[in-house]
Amino acid sequence: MLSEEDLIARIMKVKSLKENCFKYLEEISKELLTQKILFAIAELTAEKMGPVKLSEIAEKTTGAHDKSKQDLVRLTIEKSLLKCGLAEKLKYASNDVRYILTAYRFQKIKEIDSFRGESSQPIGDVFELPKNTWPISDEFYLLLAKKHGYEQSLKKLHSDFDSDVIPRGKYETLNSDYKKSLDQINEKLDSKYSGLEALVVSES
Amino acid sequence: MKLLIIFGLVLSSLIFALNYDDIAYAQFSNQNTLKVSFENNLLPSYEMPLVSGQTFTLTQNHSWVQDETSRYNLASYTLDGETVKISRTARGDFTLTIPTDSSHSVVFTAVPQYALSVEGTNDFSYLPSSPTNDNWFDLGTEVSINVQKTTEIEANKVRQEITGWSLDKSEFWNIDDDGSTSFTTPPIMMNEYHLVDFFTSYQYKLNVISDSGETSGSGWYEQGITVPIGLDAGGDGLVLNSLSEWEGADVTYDGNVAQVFIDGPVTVSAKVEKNYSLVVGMIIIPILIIGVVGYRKFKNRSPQVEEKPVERIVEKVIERVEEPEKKYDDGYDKKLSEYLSEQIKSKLDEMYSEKIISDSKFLKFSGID
Repeated sequence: MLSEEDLIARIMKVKSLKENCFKYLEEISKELLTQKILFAIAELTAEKMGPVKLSEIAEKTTGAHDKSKQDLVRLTIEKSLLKCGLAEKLKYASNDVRYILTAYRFQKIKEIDSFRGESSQPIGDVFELPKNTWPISDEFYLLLAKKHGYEQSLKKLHSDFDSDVIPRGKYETLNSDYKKSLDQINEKLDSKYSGLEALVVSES
Repeated sequence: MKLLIIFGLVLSSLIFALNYDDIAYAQFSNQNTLKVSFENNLLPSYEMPLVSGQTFTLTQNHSWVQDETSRYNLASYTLDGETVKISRTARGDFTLTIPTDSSHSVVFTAVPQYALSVEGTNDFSYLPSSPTNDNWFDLGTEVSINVQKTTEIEANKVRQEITGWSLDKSEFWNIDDDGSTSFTTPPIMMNEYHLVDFFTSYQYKLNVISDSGETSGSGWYEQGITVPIGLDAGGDGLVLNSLSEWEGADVTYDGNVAQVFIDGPVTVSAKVEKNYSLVVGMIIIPILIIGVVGYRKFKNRSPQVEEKPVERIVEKVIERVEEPEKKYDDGYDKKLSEYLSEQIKSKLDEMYSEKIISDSKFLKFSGID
């Protein structure tokens, strides 16, 4: 299985895609099996927190996982997603092959061939797959929720103390305990999930 | 002359060589022989000379490869028309001592076998077991696999639970929790190689403990689940027990329900405090009242005694018991903790409505999963 760090790295990365590959993410490809497979891999990976089997992708996209459906899905993955570098094939054993997306945020680019050599130019904004399909552990969301909870609770504590609802001794104890908990949460968010909080919350 | 001598020597050598071949052929044609063959021509037949008076031992491998996924295994032999079963084994050589007094024929019978591999657990057995005491089974037999549903990884802390299985990675089934400790697959027909893969998930032990009263919530749970815990604190006669706080884990609250998020084995202990208000209400106050009433009666009977200071003290005591000075709210810690739980929950709700958290994850957080 992949480590949590590897999964986070895939979320943080913005992958450049040429127009012929970026099209699989766009509205025009909504009905294409390729886009359905792409979203299915993302959703299954988020659930399992790791690469997913062909049979699982086939089941989610076609409602069946018999050999013919699996062959259809495998061919589609190989001809489009693997070729464009959108997905990656991982071989765990001779009969255990799994798939995972290489990134969750994409930039459409146009390649320019001029006398200065080849270069690329970004087109439009960064496209990101829905955040609820990102492979992020439960712990991260709980840390975000707890951070918010402790911040709000500290605000209430200060305000109650100012209104003389609680005595100084009690205020000092609770203030110290809650601040300590908040610091621990922030420390973990900054170390283990560095950069992810800004991406998930601020830009949502 | 020299040429004549050389010619003579060559000619005599040739004559001797021809005569020797005849002698050798004559000897072989008189010897006894052993003819070895295989039923259905599984292997080529061959013939061996038997030298009279000497012991002859016939050797044959118990198993040999048929193709990539199958093999043949010796089941019996027929010596001069009499069939004898062979003790089945997967490896090594089968040996048979052949009498050399006359010619004999041996016909070996072998059966095709296919392997049945099991992945995902080591705690299993085949039903019935393999005739060769391994994972190979004769063509056409039906075999089930019996597996223990739970395997303890760390005593009373971590265990592995079998949740489903697949046949040849193409068909998948869930295993329901019916209270039994083992699971047996339906019979699998051995007419080709099969792979049975068991899926497992880790479960962690939640221990909810307390010095007094009865706790709820202890048990085995999968990672990522939020489990409600509780304490029926009870009491010792008139002294009531009440829960002051949970220790040992990060306990959150959904309304009044305390919850623990399972991310490993965890022990939560309830801190219980004694509440004497009932003792005060039912014993001390009546005693004081009786005391005051009795004292007043006593005072009426003997007016000459100086009473005022004592009466005042008793009244002050009653006053203190009945009307305690309460400037601050005693349950502020609990209220703030409840507020914290509400805020955490509202943030999770917000992230869910903003489609940051998926349905399945949100269900897990809500403990509905």
